[in-house]
Amino acid sequence: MASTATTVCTACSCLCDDIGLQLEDDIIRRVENACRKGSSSLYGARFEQRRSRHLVEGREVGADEAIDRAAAELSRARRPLIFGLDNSSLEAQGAGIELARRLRCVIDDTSSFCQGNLVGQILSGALPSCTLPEVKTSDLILYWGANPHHSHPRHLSKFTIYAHPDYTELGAVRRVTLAAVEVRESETSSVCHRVFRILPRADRDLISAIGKGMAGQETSADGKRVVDLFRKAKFTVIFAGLGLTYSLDNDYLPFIEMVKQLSSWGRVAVIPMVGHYNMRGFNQSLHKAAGHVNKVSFADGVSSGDQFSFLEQVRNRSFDCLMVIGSDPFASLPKSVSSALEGIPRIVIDPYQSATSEGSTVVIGSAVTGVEAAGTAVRMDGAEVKLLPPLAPSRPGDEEILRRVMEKVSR
Amino acid sequence: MPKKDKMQPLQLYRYLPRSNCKKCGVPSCLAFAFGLISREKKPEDCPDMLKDEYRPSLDLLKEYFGEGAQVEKTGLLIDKDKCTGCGDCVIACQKCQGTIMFGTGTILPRDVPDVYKIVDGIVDVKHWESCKRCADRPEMCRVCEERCPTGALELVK
Repeated sequence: MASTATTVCTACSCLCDDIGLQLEDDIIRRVENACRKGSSSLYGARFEQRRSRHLVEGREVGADEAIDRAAAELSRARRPLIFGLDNSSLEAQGAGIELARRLRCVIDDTSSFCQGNLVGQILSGALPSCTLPEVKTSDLILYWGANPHHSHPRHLSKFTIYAHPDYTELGAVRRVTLAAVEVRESETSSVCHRVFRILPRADRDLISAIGKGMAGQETSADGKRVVDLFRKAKFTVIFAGLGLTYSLDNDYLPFIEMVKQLSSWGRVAVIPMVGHYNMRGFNQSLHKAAGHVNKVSFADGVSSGDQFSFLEQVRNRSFDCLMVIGSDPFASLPKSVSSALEGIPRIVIDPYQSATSEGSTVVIGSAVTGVEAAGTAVRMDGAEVKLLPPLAPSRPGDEEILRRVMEKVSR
Repeated sequence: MPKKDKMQPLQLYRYLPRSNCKKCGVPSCLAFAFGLISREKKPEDCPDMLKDEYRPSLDLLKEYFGEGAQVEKTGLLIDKDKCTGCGDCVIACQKCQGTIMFGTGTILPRDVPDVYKIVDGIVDVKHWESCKRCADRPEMCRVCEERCPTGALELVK
């Protein structure tokens, strides 16, 4: 039977809530307003060849047996590690954190090697931020080290420059400026009013040039131009991408100092260009539960540090059982690092087959959150969005799986 | 970035016989180049291009223009492989064709349906009649093409 529905897209952390669907017997026939990433993720939910089945050592089993085996592996392990949860709902993340606390183990997510530190600075109040609807009151939008046309395709049209009420295609007066700091010519820089091309890893130099320019000292030409731009703006929003994060090597002090200085000229807000749709949700949930955004160990009370990051844990083989939820670290880890995981029992909870699920001890196929399973997610600006699943679930959701595993874990 | 990949009429002209023989039905080879860009002509419509000496040019032009490109009534050609469905053209067009500006600087809505819609992750022309290029007195607006970050949109007329 044909029907229509409105849903929230969970392909990236924009969480676009205006996606129109035409359905026929629980199959999506048409997707409106979603970008290519979003429509692929919606159609992909019914692509059975890509979906995970419940497996124990490569043998197809029922959900109960897979969950029993996962619980047995976790109970047997002395130092398990939980990783992922960025593509799960807030409710599932809560269950994952609870499980980590019960197992007294390390929990981490992909934010430990991307935007986690920046989200941490915002949550601790070191960096000012704002919501995406507030961006429509800004007069300078700056993408720093980000190319949203690749990572968040609808970012400009739904939240920033094109959605800005002061943006017009008519007339000669420009009331809102779009600028970018980039190391190369990109899709985003091609539509910006002002582009500042810098050398790779030269972000720190530009920040110090801006600092000098603001203090009235002699500075570089680019530094002067950026300072002029900031001086004219009453409300600046900086979208910090991975380019900035990797260039600063997670040391945000110069950036925080720059933002503090700029705040004396007008309002400044920083929004991280978070990748996974609920990565910020994980950071917020863990911050609330343990006071840290990632890299947390519940072994002796609560502790956090670089030694608990997934990469360090893998490098040092610090765990004897790995549980990965909705993430595919094997697709991005170097072979030399991932080969260190051989022989360690691996439990994967994922809606789709992945490099990580390949050869895992236990694979539990889960429902696609946002398409088949309901829940809440946190957008890149920290706003909570209720997910509206348009399809009936074909597998249990992440939260249900984690709660069932928790019931059976003997600790 | 987008415009760099697109061949301009004078660039195309260099690949043509430049004899202005009119066998293709247009007055000159430059006019034929314009016809190629607007997809009203095909490279093989030029009889001289079928000669062996122009074979490399013919192959290049055939590859560049491809087969079966469908030009919308507004003169728009959509490269569906390049489109990412970002929706920049949808909103930029809304702000341009959906509004009218008076000499005083006052901008008012035109109350017409949107030209574009993103369907299945790719832009689609829904209401070509709303486009300023299709008005009684056409306005050769190029906003959608200029705002497209991937070069997926090309106005060929």
